[in-house]
Amino acid sequence: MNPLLAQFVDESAELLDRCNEGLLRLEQDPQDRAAVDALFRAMHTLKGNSGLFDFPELTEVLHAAEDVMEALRLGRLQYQPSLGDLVFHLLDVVRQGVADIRVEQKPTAVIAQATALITALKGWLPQGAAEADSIQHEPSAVPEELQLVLPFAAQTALWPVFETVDTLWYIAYRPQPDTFYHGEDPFWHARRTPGVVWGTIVAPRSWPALENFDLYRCVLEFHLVSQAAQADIAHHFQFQRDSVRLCALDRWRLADLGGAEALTAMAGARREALVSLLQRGAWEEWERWLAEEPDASGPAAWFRGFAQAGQQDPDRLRAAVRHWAVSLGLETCVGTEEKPGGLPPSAASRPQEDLGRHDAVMPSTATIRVPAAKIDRLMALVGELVVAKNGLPYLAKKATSEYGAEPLARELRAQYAAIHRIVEDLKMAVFDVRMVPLSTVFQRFPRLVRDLARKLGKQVTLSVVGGETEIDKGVAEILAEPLMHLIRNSLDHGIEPPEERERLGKRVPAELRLSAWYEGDTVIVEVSDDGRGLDSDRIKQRAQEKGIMTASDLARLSERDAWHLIFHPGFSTVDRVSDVSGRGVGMDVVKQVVERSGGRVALDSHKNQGLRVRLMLPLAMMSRRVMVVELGDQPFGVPIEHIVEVVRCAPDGQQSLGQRATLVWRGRSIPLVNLGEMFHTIPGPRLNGFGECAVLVGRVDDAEVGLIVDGFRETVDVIVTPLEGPLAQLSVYEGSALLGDGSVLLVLNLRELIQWQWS
Amino acid sequence: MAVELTAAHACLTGYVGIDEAEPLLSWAIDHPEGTVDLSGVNHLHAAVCQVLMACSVRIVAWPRDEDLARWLPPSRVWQHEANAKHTASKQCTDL
Amino acid sequence: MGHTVLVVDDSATMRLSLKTTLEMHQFQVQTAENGVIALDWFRATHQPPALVITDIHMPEMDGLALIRELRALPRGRFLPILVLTTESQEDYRQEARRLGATGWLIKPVRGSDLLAVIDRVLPHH
Repeated sequence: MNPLLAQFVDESAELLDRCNEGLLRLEQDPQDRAAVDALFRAMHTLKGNSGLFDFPELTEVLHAAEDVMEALRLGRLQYQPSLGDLVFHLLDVVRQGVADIRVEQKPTAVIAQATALITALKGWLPQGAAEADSIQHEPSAVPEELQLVLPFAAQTALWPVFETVDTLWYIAYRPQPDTFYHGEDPFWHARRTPGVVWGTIVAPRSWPALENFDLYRCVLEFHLVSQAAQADIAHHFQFQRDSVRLCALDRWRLADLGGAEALTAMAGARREALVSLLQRGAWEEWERWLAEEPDASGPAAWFRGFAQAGQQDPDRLRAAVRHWAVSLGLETCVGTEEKPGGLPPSAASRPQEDLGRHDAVMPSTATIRVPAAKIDRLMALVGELVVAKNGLPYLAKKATSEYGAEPLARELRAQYAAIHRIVEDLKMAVFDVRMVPLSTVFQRFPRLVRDLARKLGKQVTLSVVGGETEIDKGVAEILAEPLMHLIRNSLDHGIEPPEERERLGKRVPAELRLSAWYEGDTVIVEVSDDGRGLDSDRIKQRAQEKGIMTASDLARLSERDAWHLIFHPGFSTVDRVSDVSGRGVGMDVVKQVVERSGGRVALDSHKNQGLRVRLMLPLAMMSRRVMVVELGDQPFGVPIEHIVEVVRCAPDGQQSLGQRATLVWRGRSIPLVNLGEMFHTIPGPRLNGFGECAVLVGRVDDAEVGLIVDGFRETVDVIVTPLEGPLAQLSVYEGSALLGDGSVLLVLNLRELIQWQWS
Repeated sequence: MAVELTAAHACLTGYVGIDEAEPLLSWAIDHPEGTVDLSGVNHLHAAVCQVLMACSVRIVAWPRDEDLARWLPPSRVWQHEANAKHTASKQCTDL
Repeated sequence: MGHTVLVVDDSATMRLSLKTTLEMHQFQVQTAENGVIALDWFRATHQPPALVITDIHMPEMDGLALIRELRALPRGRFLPILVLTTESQEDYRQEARRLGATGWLIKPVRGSDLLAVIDRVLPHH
C-alpha cells in the first residue's frame, strides 16, 4: 500500500476513536463544549484527509457529518440522543469502509450507504445552515471608472498579440496599504500573473518627505495586460480579489486608446493619405506607404499594427478611422457615425478553483499497525525460544552420558536441527518486522548541520547517502545520539572556518558525508569530513596532560593507536568547552553505545584531509554469539567477534617482560592474562597431556590479549542482559546470559580486561 | 545578501527582499545625491521599489533582467514620473 | 538547500502529504501538529521558514491564533502564511486574511496547485 494511503488508514482509526469518545461524552453532557469541539475537529480532519484520495462517497458522507458537527458547535443545533444514534451508526459504517479500503481498495460499506447517510444527516441541518452553504459569491457588479495607463509604445507592442487572441485583459492591481503585513510582495505577484504581455509599476502622483515616508505602507499600483483566460487571472488574484480591477481590451478598444493621438502626431499630408488609404482598404498601396514612412517606431508603427489587427473586419476599421478623422476635424463628409469598440459581455465570474482529485492511489497489500511494545515482546519471546532450543543438545548429551540412550540422543539432535531451522526463520521474520530505514535517523541531520554551521560560522554541505538502508529499530534508536555527537565533533573540531580553508587551498564549503550501506550481516554507518583530521601528536600530548598514559608508553604508540585515545573517557582535543560539542556525550560514550549494541567503531584519518568514523553495526540486535570457556568448573562467555584464535601453548612459549607475562604469537609479543588467577578459581592453569595450556587470543580494536583458560566448549547464541545490583559495578563482565540447561553464563568484557591489563 | 551600501553608491543584486527596504531608506536619507546600480537585480520587493521611487537617488544602471526592466517606469528619476501620458476612462468590472 | 516551509496540521496524513510534495520540490519541511508547537519552534529556530502553511482547526492553538501570534513577532511580520481550508470555509478564509494570512489552499491540495500558489508568494531568486 502506498505510504500515504497507509497513513490515512491508520490515522482514520484513531480519528474515529476520537469521534466515538467525543460523542460518548456529549451523550453524558450535551453542553460539553470541549467534546463538541473535539468531535468536530476529528470529523473535519477525517474529511480533509479523505479528500486526498479518490473516495468521493466517503468524502461526501464525512462532509455531511462535518456540517452537522459544525451546526452543533455553533449552537445552531441541539444535541439529541436520536442524533447520537445516527452519528454512532455513521462512525461504524465509516470504520467498516476504511477497513474495506485495506482489503478491497475502496470503502465498500460507505459506498453502499452513502445516499441514505447523507439524506439522514442533511435532515438534521437547520434550514439556514443549508442555505448558507449555497450562497453564490456574486461579484459586486458595481462598475468603476478605471484609468488605463497604457503608453503609446506599449500599445504598439500589443498589436501583434491580437494575431492569436481576440481579447486581452487590462488589470489594475491596487494592493491594500497593509499588503506587506500579509506577507505579500505585490510586485512579485503582478510579475507572476499568467500571460503577461505588458506591465508597469504606477507610482502615486506625489510622495511625502522621505523622513515621513512609511515604507511599509504600500502606495504602488501595478497595471498590466495579460493574454490569459479571465478565470486564470481571477485564480491568480484569488487572495486579492478586492484589490484588482479587470477590463477587457479588444483590438477596437486599444485602437480607440491611441488612434486619435497617432493621427495627430502625423504630418498633415501623410495623415490625409493614410486616412484615405485605410478608408479604401487599399492594402497594397498601404504597404508601399508604410515603406516610405521614416519613423518605424512612431505613429506609423502604431498604424501598421492596427491595420494588421483590424484587417479581418475592414468595415469596422474604416469606421474607426473615420471617427478619429472626424474628431480631429479632418473629415467633413461622414456617413453614419459608428462608435468603435464595444465591450464584450462582462462575464466576470467567480474564480474556478480546480478541485480535481489526486489520482486514485490503490493499496496492494493490507497492513495492520502494531504497537512497538508488542513487537518487542515478540522479540523477547523469540530470544527465550532460542535459549530453550539450546537446551536440546544438553539433553542429548545427558541421554547418552546418564542413560546410555544413544538412539534417543540421535533423535533429539535431529529434532534440535529441525527446531533450530524454524527458530532461525522465526528470528529473521521478527527481525524483518523490526527493520526501519536509516532515513528515520538521518532525517534530522540536515537541519542540525545547517543550524550548527551557522552558529559556528562554518560553511558545510552535508550529503546523506544510503538512508534506505534498513536496520533493527533498536539499533536505529540508539544510533541517533552517537551520530549526532560525531557530526557535532566534525563541525566543531574537524571542519575549519572558511577563511582557514581558503588559506589552505581547500574547498569551501567543506563536505560532510553521512552514509550507510550493508556489508554482509553488518550495516556500516560512516561519518566523514574533509576537515583537519586527527593530529596524533596533539592527541598524545593531550593524553599525557590528562594523565591517561605515561610519556614513555605514548612514545611507543603508533599513530593509529594514538587515534584511539580519543575514545578514552574524559578526552577532549579542544581546550575550550564549546557549547556545541563540549557537553553531554564524548567519544567514549559513542564507542560504548555502539559496542553495547554489538557494533564496532573504526577510525581513519589523514592530517588536514579529514576524518572518517565508521560505525559497524549488527543488522539486528538480538542474540549474541559467544564462545563458552571453562575456568575450573565454571563457564564464562567470550563474545565471538573478539576472538581471533584459540591456541595451545606450552609454558615455555610464554615469556616474562618485566612483571608481565607475554605470549609470542605470530611473531609478536602479546600480554597474557591468567583468568583463573584473576578470578581465584584455581591456583594454576590446567595443562593437557603435552604440558600445554589453552589460550584464547582476543582482539579489541587493535589491542590483542591472550587469555589462559582451562578449556573451550561450544559456541552458543545467547541473549546478554546487563548485570544488575552490586554486580553491575563489575566492568569486566558485559552481562549475563541464561544457558539452555538453566545455568547462568557470565559474559566477559574483553575491552575492560585489556584496559585492566594495560593499567 | 543583496544590498551593498557605500557612501555614495548602492549596489543591489539578486532578489532584494523587504528586509532591505529600511536600510536602503536610511541610506537614501543620508545620501540624497547617491547613485544606485540595479544591473544585477532579478527582483525588487515592492517595498524596496517604493523606497527607490520615493527618494531622489539616481539609478545609474538598470537591471539586465529584461522582464524586470520592462516593469520599471522609464524615468531617470522615478520621483518625477507622473502617470503615463495616455489615459482613458473606461468602464470596467470587478474581479 | 531550498527554502524551509513550516507545515502545521494536526493530521499526520495531511502533514505527510504536504511534506512529501514539498520535499520532492527541494523544500525543507518542518512539521508541527499544532500552533503551540509551531510557535515554539519558530521562536527557537535559527533558520526561520520562508513560508508557513497552517491548518485552521487544531487542538492547543488553532491556525487563526497562530497567524495572530506570528504577525506579532518581528520576523513573522512579513512572512507568507497560507491557511489550509476546505471549500466551504469561506468565512475562515476571510477571517484568516483579516488576521494577516497571505492566502489559502483548498483541501484536498493538489501538488500542482500547491506549487503554483507557492510560486506566487515566494520569489525564488
